[in-house]
Amino acid sequence: MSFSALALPSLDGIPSRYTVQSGDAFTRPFALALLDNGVITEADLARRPSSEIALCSKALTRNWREITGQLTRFDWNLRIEQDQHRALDGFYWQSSRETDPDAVWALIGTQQGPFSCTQVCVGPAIEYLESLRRGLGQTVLAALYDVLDLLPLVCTTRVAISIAEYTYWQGYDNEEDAIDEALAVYGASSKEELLANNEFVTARQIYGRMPRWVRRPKRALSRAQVERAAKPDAFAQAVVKALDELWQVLQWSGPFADLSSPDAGAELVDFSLIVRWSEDDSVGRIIDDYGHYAAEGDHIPAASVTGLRLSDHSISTWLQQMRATAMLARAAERVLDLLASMEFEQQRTLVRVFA
Amino acid sequence: MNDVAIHHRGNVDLELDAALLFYRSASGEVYATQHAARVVNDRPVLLPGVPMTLESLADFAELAARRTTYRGFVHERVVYFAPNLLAWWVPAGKRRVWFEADGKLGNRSGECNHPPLLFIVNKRSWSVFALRNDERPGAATKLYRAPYFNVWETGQICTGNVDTPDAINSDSIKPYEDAFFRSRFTHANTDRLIRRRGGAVRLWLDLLDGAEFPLHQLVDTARTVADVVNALTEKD
Repeated sequence: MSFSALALPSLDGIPSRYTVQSGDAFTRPFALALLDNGVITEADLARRPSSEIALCSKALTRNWREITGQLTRFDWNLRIEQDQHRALDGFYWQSSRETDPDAVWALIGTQQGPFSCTQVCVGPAIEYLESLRRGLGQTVLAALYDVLDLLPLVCTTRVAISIAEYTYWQGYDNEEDAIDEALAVYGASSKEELLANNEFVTARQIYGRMPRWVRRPKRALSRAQVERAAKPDAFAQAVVKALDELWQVLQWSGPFADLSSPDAGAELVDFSLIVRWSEDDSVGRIIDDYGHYAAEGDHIPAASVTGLRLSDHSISTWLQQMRATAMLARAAERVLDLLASMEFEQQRTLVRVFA
Repeated sequence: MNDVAIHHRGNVDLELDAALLFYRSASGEVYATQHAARVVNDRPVLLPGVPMTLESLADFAELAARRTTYRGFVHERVVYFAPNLLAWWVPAGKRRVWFEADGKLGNRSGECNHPPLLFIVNKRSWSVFALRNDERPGAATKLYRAPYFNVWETGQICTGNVDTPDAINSDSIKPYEDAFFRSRFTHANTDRLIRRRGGAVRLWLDLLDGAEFPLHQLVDTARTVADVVNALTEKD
């Protein structure tokens, strides 16, 4: 037996650390896909990028800023996700394509978190248009909402009422049916007992001063009727002109990106813009309650989710379609700018002065 | 300002942390010690160790099991599954076979009747056995020699240049079966593949002519499913 001093056995040749290159498994194919899709250009390589992901970020940021540079109201931040199945950042989401290594996800949403987008109030302007001719404000709102539905989720009054029905009324679209359901759920014998002992959100609380048709505004007037109604009023004419321009973009600038998020597989919990009736309406409360409700289940903090593939040209196609969609959004902003401007108030004042 | 963010799985950095040393006697007893490993003067060194306790062994086993245990849907024909070992059975049926042999079989191919079979695959080998009854085998089911060319007496399949799957799991069952049945059988690796006059060559000529498979003529290996599986898992 040896009694010499013990030396610490050295592990010569044994590496003291390993780096598992799981990041490269995504960044390299993603960078190649951006290159193949023409997103990365020579200009992006003028200065040697520090990494593949830095190159991807630089090229995408340049493209995205070109696309969204003109937008003043919509909050369209792009987030690229490798994982369809995430338990990170406080949200969980599992899509129908969870194991597809060729898939990448483009999410559009706010930068500061769900519902932190800009808000705009259109109620007074719509009421003014209604005062010019019954149905004019409703027709303008219906046309505008149809376009807003093509964009990353916009919370219109129509969307807010529908969320309220989902959140407070078990999906029923009228208070009577919702009360019948709530009576059965809470075991109450009368509406009075139900309202006294339980928190039931009534139609009056939901709608406030909003007309009931905001739930589903219709194009109540024909094109000719709209023109006749708007003719004597400069503000109404300006709104109709802005809507005409919006229609032109819709007709000629497509195809637009499909932002209906069919593969999302979870609730989308974010908006790129909130269109309210007035600052004291119930929309704020509805959104807040919905946010808490949706956060209890599978949800994605984004206003749209689009699945793209690395192996084809779906990235460049989508960016091209988003470019067209941004033109549509910009045209919609011009309508919203007018509706939010209260210019009709100034006009009313002028009429009074010079009458 | 509308901005862009890219979220992806990052690289994983692993620092040298510990080592296990195993001492093994000629008769198979094992003694294990656990050592912290640190970098001293830019050289990784082993620090004095402590005997590995049952608790630390259990911790280690649990950590390893997260990677080695199987998670997934169980294939309906799987008979036994362990990390790196899979046994499954194939019911009797008609399948096409190809020969590229000398003599009477030559380059014949065709649909013919096959006996029920049991395949067993592990990291080192791949074996096939025949079954007497066309039903899912249990641990005590007796195994018979699979009367195929390119199969050794032990049941081990000579793979030659056949491509076999990289992983051993339920998904590799079909690729293994395809590799076996779709490759060309070239020669018998053993004399006694079947108990009948004319041996395996006569057997396959008859089968290619449409004969029923003679299950009563299978050669008994004197081993059960459990015997073979246990022998392979002990080697692991």
